[in-house]
Amino acid sequence: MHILFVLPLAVGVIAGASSALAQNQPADRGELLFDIGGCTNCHTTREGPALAGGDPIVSPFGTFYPPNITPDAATGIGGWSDADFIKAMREGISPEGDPYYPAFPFTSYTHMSDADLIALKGYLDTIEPVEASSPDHELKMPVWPYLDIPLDLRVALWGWRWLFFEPERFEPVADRDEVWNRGAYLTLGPGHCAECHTPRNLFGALDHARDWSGNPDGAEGENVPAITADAAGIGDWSEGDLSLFLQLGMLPDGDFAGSGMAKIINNGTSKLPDEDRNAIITFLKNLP
Amino acid sequence: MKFRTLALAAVVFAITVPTGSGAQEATGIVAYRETAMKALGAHSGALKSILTDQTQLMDQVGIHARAIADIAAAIPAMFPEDSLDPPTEALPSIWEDPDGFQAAADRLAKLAGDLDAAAGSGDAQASLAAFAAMGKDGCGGCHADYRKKN
Ligand code: HEC
Ligand code: HEC
Ligand code: HEC
Repeated sequence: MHILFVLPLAVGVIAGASSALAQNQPADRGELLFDIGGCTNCHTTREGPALAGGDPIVSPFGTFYPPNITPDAATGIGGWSDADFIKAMREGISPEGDPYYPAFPFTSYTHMSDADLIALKGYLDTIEPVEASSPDHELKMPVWPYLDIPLDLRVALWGWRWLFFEPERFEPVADRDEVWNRGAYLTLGPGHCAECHTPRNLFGALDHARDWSGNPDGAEGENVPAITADAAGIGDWSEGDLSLFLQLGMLPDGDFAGSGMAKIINNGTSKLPDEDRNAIITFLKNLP
Repeated sequence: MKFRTLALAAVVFAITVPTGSGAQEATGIVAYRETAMKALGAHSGALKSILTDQTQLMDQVGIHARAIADIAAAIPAMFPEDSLDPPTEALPSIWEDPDGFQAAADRLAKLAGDLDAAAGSGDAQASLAAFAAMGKDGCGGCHADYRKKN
């Protein structure tokens, strides 16, 4: 199964092109995790300063305003300890003890190791602090989509967590090789690929019985395709196709990915060192 | 987890959520521009094929690059105000930010021109890099901001 070591020539050539392009290869582990974690995608507006708060996320549960996560002490996360940060990312709990909404994909970041979370925080600490506060989220009761009842559901989140969330940590799978495990960690953890590619139940929790089967009602109304290994997903894509896609966004038919996935590619997978991207491809090619 | 799932089922058994409509054919200007976009896709596919496989046909890269540059210049006119008839994948942001959309079309035209120039010089590596930049920043750059997947 060590297919990736015999990638078609084409990918080698394109990889050459990508190193000709690569201006922004991550300098260290923290920056790499920041890139593949896609923090910019949600926490930065199109024109605004880095990480000072993002564009609203419109979902069936209402509109979320991603907060400022620059190191500004008053309005960002400048005053946070490493332990505060780990608790937010792994457990989805704020320093004040309140639960976060799963619009913040801590449900994936929970798989990250302590060492990686500390490296990521080290990178965030190097960002320019900005004083800025995001508006309050505007939520509605998801089970009655016809009624726009303004609600603060934070209390209800305790019930949601009881049903759907358990803090986790990635455990390497013993009978898989190192490359697969590296890919699994990046895909399930920082890459948070399941957050879009796995459908959700009525309560907005990932429906793991249907892992990777796509989500016709994705964020922003996007139809997220399946990436399973069968014909419904990417079964007929070669490793070369996947490599081109994760570097350039090019689909096998000559189209180029848009919106959510374009951001994941531009800010994330295109910047990864080849070994990491190829590890993700190994994992994807071996999905059920 | 079993008990939790049961508890959940008890809560939600009667709830249904409306979902989207079935497949629909594009008509009018939406049909035209989707076809024109598919033509861009076909030129990109042809370029990939030459640059990664059929390199003996390097002298044909310019044909596709120039076609892409010509079509790129025509993109803004394919999106008259609020032409959002389903099943369009166009986003309203096109008309909220017309300057940004125009700039995205201009950027593709420029990057396709760069590819034409690189191919003209006969440098295969430079052509490949120019193709990658055109696809990622030219096509992907616009799709990232102005198109959503249906
Ligand atoms: C899909 C969108 C999305 C992505 C990607 C994302 N976040 Fe967030 N994040 C949010 C939202 C929404 C909230 C607010 C949650 C709430 O209020 O309950 C949030 C909250 C946070 C908080 C809590 C801030 C506070 O003031 O309490 C931190 C810390 C954070 N995110 C860090 C990160 C980091 C680091 C990354 C990248 C590894 C990241 N986020 C990626 C959407 C996102
Ligand atoms: C923010 C949501 C989101 C996240 C997170 C996300 N994707 Fe995607 N993905 C999409 C959307 C939307 C598309 C369709 C894009 C298009 O064709 O315009 C897509 C397309 C794809 C495709 C092509 C499938 C096909 O049949 O066209 C692959 C492969 C893929 N994603 C892999 C990944 C991997 C690997 C990750 C994690 C590193 C990931 N995605 C994370 C939204 C997402
Ligand atoms: C200035 C913006 C812009 C640029 C540049 C652009 N596109 Fe598009 N493209 C769009 C929009 C918007 C849509 C959705 C159109 C619709 O559905 O009404 C689209 C749709 C598409 C589609 C889907 C057509 C269909 O419905 O089947 C393909 C394929 C495509 N583009 C390929 C390309 C390629 C390849 C390039 C680069 C050579 C490119 N596009 C450059 C904006 C752009």
